[in-house]
Amino acid sequence: MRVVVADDAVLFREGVIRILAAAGFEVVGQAGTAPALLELVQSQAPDVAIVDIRMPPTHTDEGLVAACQIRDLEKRVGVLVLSQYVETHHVMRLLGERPGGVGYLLKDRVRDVEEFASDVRRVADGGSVIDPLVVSRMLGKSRRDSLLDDLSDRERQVLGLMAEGRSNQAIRERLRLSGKTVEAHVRSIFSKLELPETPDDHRRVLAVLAYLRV
Amino acid sequence: MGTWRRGRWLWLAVAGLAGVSVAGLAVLSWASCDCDKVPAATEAARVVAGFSFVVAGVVGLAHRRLRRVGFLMSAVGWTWFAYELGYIYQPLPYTIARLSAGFWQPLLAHLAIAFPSGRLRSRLDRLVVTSAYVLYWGTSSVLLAFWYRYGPTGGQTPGPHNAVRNLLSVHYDARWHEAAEFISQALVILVAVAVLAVVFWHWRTATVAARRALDPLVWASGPLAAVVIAYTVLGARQFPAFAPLAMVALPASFLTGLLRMRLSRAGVGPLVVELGQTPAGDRLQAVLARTLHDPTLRLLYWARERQSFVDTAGQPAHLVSERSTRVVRRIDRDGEPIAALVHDPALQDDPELVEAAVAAARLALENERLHAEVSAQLVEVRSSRARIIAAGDAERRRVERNLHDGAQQRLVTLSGALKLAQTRLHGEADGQLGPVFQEAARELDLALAELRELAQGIHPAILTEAGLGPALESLAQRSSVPVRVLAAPEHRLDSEVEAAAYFVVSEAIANAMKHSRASLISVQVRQTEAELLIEVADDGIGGAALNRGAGLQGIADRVRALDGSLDVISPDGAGTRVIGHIPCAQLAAHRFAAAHTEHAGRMAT
Repeated sequence: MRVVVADDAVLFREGVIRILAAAGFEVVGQAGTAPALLELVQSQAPDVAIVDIRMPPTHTDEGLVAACQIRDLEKRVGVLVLSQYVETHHVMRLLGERPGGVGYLLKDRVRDVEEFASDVRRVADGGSVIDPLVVSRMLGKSRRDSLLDDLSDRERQVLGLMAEGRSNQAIRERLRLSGKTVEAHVRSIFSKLELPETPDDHRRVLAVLAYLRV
Repeated sequence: MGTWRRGRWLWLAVAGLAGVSVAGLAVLSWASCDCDKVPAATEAARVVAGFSFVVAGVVGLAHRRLRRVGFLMSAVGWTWFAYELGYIYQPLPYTIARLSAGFWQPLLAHLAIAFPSGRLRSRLDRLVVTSAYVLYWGTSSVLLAFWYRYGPTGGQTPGPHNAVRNLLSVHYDARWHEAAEFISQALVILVAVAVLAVVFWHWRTATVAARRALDPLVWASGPLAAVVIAYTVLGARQFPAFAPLAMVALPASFLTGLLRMRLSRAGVGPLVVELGQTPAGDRLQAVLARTLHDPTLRLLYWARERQSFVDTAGQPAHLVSERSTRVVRRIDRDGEPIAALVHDPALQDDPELVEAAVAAARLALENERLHAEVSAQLVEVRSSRARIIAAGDAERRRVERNLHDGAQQRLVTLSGALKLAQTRLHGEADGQLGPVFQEAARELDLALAELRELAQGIHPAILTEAGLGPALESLAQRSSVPVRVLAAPEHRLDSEVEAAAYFVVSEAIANAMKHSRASLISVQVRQTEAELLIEVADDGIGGAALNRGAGLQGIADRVRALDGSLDVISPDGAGTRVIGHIPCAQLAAHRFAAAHTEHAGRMAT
């Protein structure tokens, strides 16, 4: 699987490349700025671009802007954005109207090689990856309506994993549940939260996050 | 002022006494003479006219600046009564009376031309006045020399009742006498016309302030000229009975002018009141000009740092140009000038008025100076406070960036390396080291999380990056007490305003979490036309105050640095509301720029 990495911090970039290489990815290019990244994506046509959100010149959201451009222009290329801080605002910008092939993770996540490698693959395959910290913050947020309060603990767990972009299959494995049980939980959650059900994992992420964000 | 006023009353008494006694003597000599004399009505009018000059003149003598003109005026009065001296049938008084009965005419010419300063200022002035004196004495002595040897009934020889001798008689010849009389009358009229012309010329060329002083004379000069000409042509006997009363016009208007001056000085009272009511500013010049009746008056301020005078617009100003006749009155304080009045020289005629106005102005100026000094200091303090806060913010951003680029990156890399080592270790199957690595990895996780919290507390990157709305949302999500963001501006604001609003909210939330035992905190930031309103309310135990704790005090300073205000409403047991206001002047300038940036941002994404 072909990967490009963009981060202006060389030390961290090298670390990520080492981890990716160890996990069996083929790193076909690296960049320190957003324009260099865009060029790299066009020339190398990677499966995934891993992008730090803060890059020169302003060190604010250059990486995010570039990620959105890749998402819109190179639909086959997955984009995984890494950030020092997780912000709901970033997630919403990144997901846009059509999620899929995008991911948003805390930089710390790279150290867990297996998990990180699976996240990169998920994004490359057109799935969505949302950092668990974003989801837990959203779930922990105080809400005017108390529809979330109607959910059981198990249902909340399932909702969280859905929001992280995991498929029913992944949820089943994670929670060690049967496929039918997971499907039952999902149906129950959607009916309790009055959300329209969708078979598409990515649309499901969007619906769940949009709901949680309100 | 007190002694001066007492002196003036004394002068007035002297004036009255002198007027009454000289008029009394005149009436007495008129009454005691059983000769051919003017009718009683005429005599009465004459006495009133002379008396008025004497009194007005002596009143003028009481004023330092009017002494000369007062002297001339009273001299007109005294000599006016020389005519009555002729009723004393003795050769010397009679001769003197004949000689000087019209002496008041050149004196009146002198008075008119020297009015109101009492000085003859130009060569023309001196020429006209000297001619008046010379022509008078010349013609009157010539006339007397060719007059009857005995008077007043006439004849070359003394009669039964009229044996008064004309001491100056040289030769009597009716034709000579008539010719001399004709010439003298023509000369008198000529001089009168010249004097009128000079007076009018003075008035025409006078400054506005000086015209005020000349006005009484100009108004009186018509009647005066008429009296002089009538007297000369008709002589005292054929003089219309009440004609001398017209003479009263000059003393009357002179006294009116003096009274007006007193009223002007009384106008300083309202000046003080007016200056006291409102800050003086530019109006001080206008008010002084009005009070002193000098529209050309200029007020110059002393600029200490430039060591020169500046005008009310702050432009450097020279006190007086070289050819100017304008008068400069410096206003000093502790030996250093604070201002200067540049005014019309005519104001010097009433120095007391100028002094009173200056005293009033000094108060206002002093007030204004202190006000300016305080506001300058305030501006300096404000801007330095704003600079300190801006510097603090820049420093916060720098520290956060350094943490991000340095320690955090290294820890993450280290963490990755550790994890990698751990994975490899599994292959080596060393049961001893496994838990140690796990412990190290957990500690590293905690360190990273703490560092992240710290960096975000120092300066939230999201605030710079996405503005107040996302930053507040992020803040709310990170809080352990539920925080609801009810409203936040959707567009970007000035970074200082955003930072101030953000730290108000974050400090208020931190405060609520620490002390209030609140279960819910609500945040709203709304922008109106006039201001940005920040409100953080909780449902806790209340009892918070601005002066308790450095945190709230710090954000209050931050808000005040933007000319805003911060209030804490926190009654015991009824929750706490922290309310900040930041005025819109700080926002408006940035609204366009913010909209522009947002637009550009959308274009980029």
